Amino acid sequence: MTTQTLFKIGTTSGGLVLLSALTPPVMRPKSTFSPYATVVELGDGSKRGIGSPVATWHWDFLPQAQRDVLRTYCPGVSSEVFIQTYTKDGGTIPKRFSCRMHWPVTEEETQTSRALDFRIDFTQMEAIA
Amino acid sequence: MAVRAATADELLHLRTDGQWSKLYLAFPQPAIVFKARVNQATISRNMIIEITYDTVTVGAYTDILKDMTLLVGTTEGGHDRGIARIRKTCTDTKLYLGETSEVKFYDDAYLTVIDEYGIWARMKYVASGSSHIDFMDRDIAYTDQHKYLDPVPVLGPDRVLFYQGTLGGGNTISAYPDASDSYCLGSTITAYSWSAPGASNTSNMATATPTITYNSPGTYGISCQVTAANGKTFRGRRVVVVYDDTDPPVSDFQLTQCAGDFDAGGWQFRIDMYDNATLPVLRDRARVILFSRDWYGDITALTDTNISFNSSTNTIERPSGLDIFLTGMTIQVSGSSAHDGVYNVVTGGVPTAIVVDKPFTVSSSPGETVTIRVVNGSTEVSIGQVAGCGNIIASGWIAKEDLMLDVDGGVASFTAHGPHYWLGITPNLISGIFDIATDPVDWNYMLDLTVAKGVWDILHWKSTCTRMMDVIMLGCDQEAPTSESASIGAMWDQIKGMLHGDLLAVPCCDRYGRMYIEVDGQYVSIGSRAFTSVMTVEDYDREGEITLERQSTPSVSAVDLTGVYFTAHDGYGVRGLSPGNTLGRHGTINTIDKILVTSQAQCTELAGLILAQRNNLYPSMSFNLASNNKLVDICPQQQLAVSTDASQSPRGITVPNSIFIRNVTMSWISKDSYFTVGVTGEPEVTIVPNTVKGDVPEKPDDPETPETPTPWPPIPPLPLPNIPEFGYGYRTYTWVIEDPSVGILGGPYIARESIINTVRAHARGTGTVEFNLERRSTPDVAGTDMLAAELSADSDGVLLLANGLATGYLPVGSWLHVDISDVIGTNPELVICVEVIS
Repeated sequence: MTTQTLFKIGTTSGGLVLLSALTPPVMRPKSTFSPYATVVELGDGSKRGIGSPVATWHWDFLPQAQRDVLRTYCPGVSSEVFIQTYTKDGGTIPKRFSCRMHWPVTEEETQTSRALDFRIDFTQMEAIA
Repeated sequence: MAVRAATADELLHLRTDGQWSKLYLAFPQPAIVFKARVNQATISRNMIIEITYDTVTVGAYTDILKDMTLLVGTTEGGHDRGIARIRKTCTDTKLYLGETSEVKFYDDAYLTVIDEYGIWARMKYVASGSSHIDFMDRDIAYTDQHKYLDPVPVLGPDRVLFYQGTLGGGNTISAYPDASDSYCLGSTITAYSWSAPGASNTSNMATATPTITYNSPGTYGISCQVTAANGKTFRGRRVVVVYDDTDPPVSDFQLTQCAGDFDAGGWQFRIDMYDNATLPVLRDRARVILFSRDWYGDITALTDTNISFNSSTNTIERPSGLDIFLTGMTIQVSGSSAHDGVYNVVTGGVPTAIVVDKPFTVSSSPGETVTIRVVNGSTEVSIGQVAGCGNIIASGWIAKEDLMLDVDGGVASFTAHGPHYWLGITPNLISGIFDIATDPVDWNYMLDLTVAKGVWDILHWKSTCTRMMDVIMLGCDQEAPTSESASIGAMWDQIKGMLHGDLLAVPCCDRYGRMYIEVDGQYVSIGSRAFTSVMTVEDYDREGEITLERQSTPSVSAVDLTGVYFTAHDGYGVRGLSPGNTLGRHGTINTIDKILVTSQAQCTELAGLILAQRNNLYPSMSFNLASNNKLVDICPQQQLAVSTDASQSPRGITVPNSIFIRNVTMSWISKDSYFTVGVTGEPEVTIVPNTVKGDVPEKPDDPETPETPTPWPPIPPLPLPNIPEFGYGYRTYTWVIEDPSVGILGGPYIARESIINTVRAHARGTGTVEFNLERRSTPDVAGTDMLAAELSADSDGVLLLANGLATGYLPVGSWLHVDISDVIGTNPELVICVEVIS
C-alpha cells in the first residue's frame, strides 16, 4: 500500500505546499473525506447525500510548533484555503480543493507541548484542477 | 417570462448526491451621477417640487435622468435629511423632484443624485381654479396617453455576475438580458435600444437580446428603450452587479429565513450579520440580492457499444466523444465483462482515449454495451427559471432591522422584502379611470378600458414600477367599465382590490421581483387551463412525507355570483349559482358581485369553480424537496405534479396529482451548506359542481342567449343597505338604468353629512334624459331637488360637473334619489354616477 503523504495546504491554488515542506515540517495526518456532508432519507426509502464535500485531518498528537504553523493558515475560527488531500474513490491520487478550513473551537488538549487528538475540518470543498 | 418545466438534465442534477451551495449577498452600489449644494435661502417644507442648486462637484445636470434618486444630507453623500425622486429633466439651476413634504431641505444642504431607481408613487395633481385640470406627476398634461399607451419594458431581473478569478485584461464576464417579453397594451413593440454605460463590450444592442460584457467589478446600470407601433417609447432600467475574487460579495452572514408566499404576494428573507453590520452598503432601504454558487452531482455519462479497453496503455478508447471525461475525475465503468470498476482519470479531455490509474488485465474490443459515468463528481451550475439569473435565490430591499445588543458584539438582523411589501406601504390617492369609446380628453378616461389597462395606469403613471421592474399581465384583457380603487391607501392593496373585485385576479412577485398579474388558476375555465408543471415530484424527490390537509365537510354551501359582461362599452348582467337553486347542506353562503366575465356560460362555470375551490377536499399539500430547487416559485402560477400511491396513506386516499404552488420556503442548513425546499401547494380542482344560470331581474338577457324582449316592469329601488359610518373619504354611487322610461330610483341612505363632488351621466341610445338628484327624508315621499337645474345626459357621451355644486350638500339622515321622469327619445340605458365626500 502506498503511503499517502502528498497532503498540501496553501492560501492560493498555485501556492500549495506539502505539509512535509512546511517549517517545521508537519506530520502526515489521518484523513477522511466525504463527498457530502449529510444524508437525508427520501420518500421512497432511499437516501441522498447532500451538502458540501467535507474532509478532516487528524493527528493523535501534534507538536506545538507544527500546530502553530498550521495556525498561520487559519488565524481565526475559519478561513478560505486550498488543500490537497485524498478522497475515498481517488485511491492513491490526491485531489486539490478550494475549501473553508475550520480550527477547533473546543479547548485543545495539550500535553508536554503537544496538541492531543487534534483535528482540523474542511468544508465547502470545491474541486480545482 | 413563461414558466418552463425542468429539462431532463436539470432533473438529473436535482436528483444527484452532493448538492451544495455557497451563499452571498449583493448590495448594488449605484454610481453617483451628480453632487451639488442647495442654493435657496427660503425653502418651504410642504409640497416641494423643485430645488435650486449650485456648487456642482460631481457630474452635470445633463447626467441626471428621470426617476433617479436624490439624497439630501448634512454631509457630502449623506441622506439624513431625506430621499426624493427626480421627476423630470433638470436645468442648470434647478432639480425637479417628485412632490414631497418630508425632505428637510435647507440652504447649502448636500445633494447627491445616484443612479438608483426605486419604487415611488407619482401623485396626480389637480390644478386649482375653475378648470380643475388634472396633471400627472405634477405637470404632465393629458394629451393622448390614455389612447396611445406607453410600452412596458420587460427586461428581466437585476443580475449578479460573479467571476471566478480576477477580471481585467482578457478576463471578462457577460450578461445576456432579454427584452423580448416587452409589450404595449393596444399596440406592439417595434424596436429596442439598449444602453450599458461601463461595459467593456456590447453587441446586438438594437435587438431584444444583447450581449453586455464587463471587465471589472462594480455596479452597472443597464437600460432599454422600447418603441411601440403607436409611436410611444419608454425606457426601463435594471442593475448588473459584477464581482470577482478581488472584489467579492458579502459572504459572512447567516440566512435565517427565506420564503415566498402567494397570498402575501412575494418573497422575503432574513439575514443575521455580526461584526460586518457596519458596512456602508447597509443603508436604509438598501437593495439586496441573495444569491449563491451551486453545485450538483456530475451527470456526465456515456453509454455505447463502441468502447474498447487497452491493457498495455491503461486506456479506454472510442473513436470520439471521450473528452467529456476530464483529468482528475473518478469514473465508474459498468456493463463490461472484464473491466467493471471505479477508476481515476489520469489523462482526460481527449476525444479518443482516457488514461486511467489502474491496469486492465486484458484488452477487449468494442461490442459490449458499456456505460462510463462520473461518480462523486460535482458540477457548478445554477438552475432557475430565468437564464443567467439561476444564481438568485431572492431579492428585495432591506425593510426591517432588529438589533440585539450584547457585550460580545450582538447581532443585527435584517429583513428584506420584495416589491409587494414596498407597494404595500406606498400610499396612493384614489385611483379611478372610466371607459370611453371616443378619444379621452383627460386623465380620468381610458380608450377601450380593460382590467390590464387600469392596472397599468397605476403601475406606470402613478408609480415608477414599469421603470425599474418587470410587470407582466396574463389574461387580464377583459373590457371594463371602470377601474377604481376603493379608497386612498397602499398601492398594493388598491391593485389587489381592483383585480380581485374585477376578475378574481391577483398580483404576485416572484423571487426575482418580477410582478405577475393573473387570474387565480383555480378560477380559470378548466378547458382553458394551460399551466406548466415544473416537474413531477417522485417519492425520491422528497425528503420524508407528504402532509395533506383534508376538508371533509364543505365550508361553503352556495356561491351566488353576479357578473357583468362588458363588451363594446355596454354591460350586461349575468348570474351563476352553484350548486344550484338549493343550498348545500353545510357551509356559508358566498355572494360575489360584479365580476367581469365574458359570457353567461363563463359566469355559471365560474360560480362552480369558486364553490369547488372553497370546498376543495384537499385545500393544502406540503412536502420538502430534497434538492436545491430554484425552479419552483409562487408565480407566475405554476404547478407540480405529485406522484403518490394510495397505499402510502392509512386512509387509502387517492391524492390529486397536481398542485398550484402557494408557498416556497428555502431552508438553508449552514453547517452543511445546502438547501432543501419546502413546498406548500393547493391541489388543483378539476371537477366543477353543479351550476345553474341565475335570474337577473333588472337586467336584459345576455346576448348569448337572446330571448323575446319583454316590457320592463317598474324599476324597483336599488336594494342598497344603509351606508355604515365611515371616516372621511370619497364614495361613488352608480345607477345603471335600463330603459329609463319612468322613474324615481332609490339610492343610498346618507349616514354622514356629505357633499356632492362630481356628477357624471351618460345616456346610450337616441335622445336625452333629464334628471335631477333628489334629497328625501323618507324614501317614498317626494323630496327636494339637489341640483339647481335639471341635468341632461345624451348620447354624446359624458357630462361631467366638477366641484362646487351649490346645492350639493346632503344632510345626515336623508336619502339620495334620482328623478328621471323627463325622458326625450329612446334611451335603452342611462348611467349616472355621483361621487360624494363624507
